[in-house]
Amino acid sequence: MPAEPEKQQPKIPRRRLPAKPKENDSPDMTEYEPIFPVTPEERKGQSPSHIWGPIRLAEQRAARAKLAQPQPPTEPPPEPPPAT
Amino acid sequence: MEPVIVHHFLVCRRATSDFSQPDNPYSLHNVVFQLSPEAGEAYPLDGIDLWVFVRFEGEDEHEFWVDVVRVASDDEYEVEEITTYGPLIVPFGHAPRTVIRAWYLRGVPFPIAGVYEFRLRQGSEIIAVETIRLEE
Repeated sequence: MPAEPEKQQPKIPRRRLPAKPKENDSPDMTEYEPIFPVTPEERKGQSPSHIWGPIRLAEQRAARAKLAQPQPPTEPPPEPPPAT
Repeated sequence: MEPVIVHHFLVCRRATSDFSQPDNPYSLHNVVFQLSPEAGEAYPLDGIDLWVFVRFEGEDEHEFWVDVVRVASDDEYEVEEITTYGPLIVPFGHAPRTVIRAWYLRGVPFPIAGVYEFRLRQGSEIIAVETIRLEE
């Protein structure tokens, strides 16, 4: 009787165990709007690369970055010295 | 600090949550691989409401974006940026923890038929990609 061939172990890559779930994490199903394009009219007559392309994306990101920057405090002008 | 590790990143037509099942609150409906215009619709499709489902782990708080791009050419792997969603803020906590999220992407535009990628991006790094097909 022929010897039974040795069973080969399947080669399964070892995976690290996932971290535990965050405790008390309530479901988040936030709704998001596309940042661009805005309306079909906006796209009309223009090349899609202008409307949806990297130029528009760069403009949007620059605008957001500008909004995120803190505004310098507005100080009142110094009062003139009292007349002697 | 450990980098964020993505376990799952999927696109689906609808997601629901069940607050009575706090351990596994999310259910996904119609996980998307292929979409076709409905009767009477034609390209450009001005907006299809979709959900993205993410299970990932990390620590501290991170900001993510979902970019939608069209793969314009398979040969050169050229992509056209279609739109972007975000910022999606996730507070993981002080130790590495797994967090599950379902985010509603309203009105995803698909200008023409083709292959589209949904890219989960952290800063300038793309940490997960899901690909779907828009049929003629």
